[in-house]
Amino acid sequence: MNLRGGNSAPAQGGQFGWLVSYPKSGNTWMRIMLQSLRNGGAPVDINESIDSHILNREEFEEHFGVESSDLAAPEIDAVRPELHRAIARASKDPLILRKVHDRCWLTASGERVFPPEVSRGAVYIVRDPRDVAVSFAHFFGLDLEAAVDSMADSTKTYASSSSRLTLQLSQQVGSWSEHVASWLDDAAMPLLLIRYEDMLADSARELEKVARFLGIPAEACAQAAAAAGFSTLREQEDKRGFREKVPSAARFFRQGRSGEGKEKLPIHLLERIENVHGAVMKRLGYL
Amino acid sequence: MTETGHLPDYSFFGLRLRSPFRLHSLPAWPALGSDEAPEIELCFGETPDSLAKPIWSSPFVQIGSDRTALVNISTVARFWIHGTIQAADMTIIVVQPAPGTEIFEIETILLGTVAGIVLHLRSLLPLHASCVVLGGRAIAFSGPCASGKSALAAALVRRGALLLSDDLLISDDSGQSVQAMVGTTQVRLWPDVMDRLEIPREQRLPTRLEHGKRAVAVPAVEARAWPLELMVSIESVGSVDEPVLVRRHGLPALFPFKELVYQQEIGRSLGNAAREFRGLTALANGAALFALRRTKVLDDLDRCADVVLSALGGGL
Repeated sequence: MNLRGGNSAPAQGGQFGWLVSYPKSGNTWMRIMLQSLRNGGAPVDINESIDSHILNREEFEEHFGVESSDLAAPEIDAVRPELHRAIARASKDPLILRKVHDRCWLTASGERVFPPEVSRGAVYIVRDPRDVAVSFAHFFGLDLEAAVDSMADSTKTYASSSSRLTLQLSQQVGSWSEHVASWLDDAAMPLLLIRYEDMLADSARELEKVARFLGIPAEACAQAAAAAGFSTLREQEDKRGFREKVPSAARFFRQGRSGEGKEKLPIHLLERIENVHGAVMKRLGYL
Repeated sequence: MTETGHLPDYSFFGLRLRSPFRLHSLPAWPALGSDEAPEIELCFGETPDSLAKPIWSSPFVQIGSDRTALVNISTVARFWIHGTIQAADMTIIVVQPAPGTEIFEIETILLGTVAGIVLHLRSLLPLHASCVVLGGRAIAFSGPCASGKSALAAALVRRGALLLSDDLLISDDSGQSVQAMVGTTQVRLWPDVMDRLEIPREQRLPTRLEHGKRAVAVPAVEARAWPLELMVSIESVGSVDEPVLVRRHGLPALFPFKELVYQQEIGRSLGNAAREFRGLTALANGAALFALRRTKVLDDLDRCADVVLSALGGGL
């Protein structure tokens, strides 16, 4: 029996390699390593464009010829699958890497938002939710209680505010455990599960797994892992900032270690996380 | 939905438009030469469900091989754009409203997505830019979605500039200098920006039902073409302590073109690529080009306006 779920057969067909995670789980780190790897292990300037960005309004408008900010959210949600297909049709790149914070969801008409026919596979990066909570609180400028609340919120969406315009399109995230389960159980495409804690232990090894899964030449994994080392990224952010940092965060590359949740979360929040997410935590070996 | 009584013709990005209902975000066509036929006629009527064999299509837009177009925003209206046999230079926009839609929603789609297509169909060059006039000089702001083009235009209007157009701008290079044609008389903003600019709630007009974006009428320039002297592209960067204006030169300063040209893919499907290149080259040669480097924080909006004003005051 496959306790972790998913289908970790090597990815095939399709152009999209989805780099999926709940927020604050190591997605950007993996993206930067992959960016370096695809450039033969070269250094990465974190303020130059990182290829594997989240779907945005520019692409929506380019492919659909419509002013996205004049549309209502359901009108945009309904055509997300078609947008992915349109991007795939228009791209000559055999592998399109995209960061994803959405859970794996269906449109109102029952269509898969991440269409299997244009997907090579999904890399799902998971992190101990107790550590996610601490990182999440720092990033969004929340107290720990509010971070834990947000991680339990089934209706959670990002970039969906009606009070401001964001470059990113709205994303349906859901709760932490729903997010994990939606991808592991229902991605309908090959899926590779990567643990953040394993990336900390040996990032080159985990990068190589991802590269082989996605069909990227893996020779330069050690150099790419070094180019995206935590201290290197942190140093770059210290010097020139990081364009993907949100205003609420003091910094993006903060600590990047594991075990912080158990140290910093009060007992009642640790219990709450276990109550809400315990089943999925057990499944992943976090309990 | 048709209004009775006299309605003016409107200036639709420099083209004369006749409408069966009042439009709140376009200036009236100047009275001189008022007997001339309009170049664009808006009317209510039946539209096709789809176009046969479109040369470009998306869930919202189809472009036909016969230079027709269909825009379908299912909860608002379908817009069928075509020419006439009688008058070669006339464009008809047939509007078939969806049940329960409001006129202001039709106007919203008309002045954005539909306008861009009409302008491409007429082989003009619509830019994704907002533009104000300061001291007789037109200054345009381009940049990606959500970079703050409209917000900066509105911030400058608050400091005494006049609005020339919001979000969509026609750059006309047919004469000796590049001209910006007058466009909309309203700027469309989101609540965070309107709060920041202290725009009273009663001045915030809806653009769509159950939608955050609002239209605000602002002091607008005289409805004519103005020399486009400055083109500023807004760039969000990782961290700058203060917004900074950087001089740029030549065509590469306008990269990426797909960000600057409104609905570039549609223009290219209509064979406008050479026209686009000619227009952007004229713009690069005719206007002073700048990048405004700023952080993503809304709080720097006033400082961005300061930087632009002080640079202008310094005699750019």
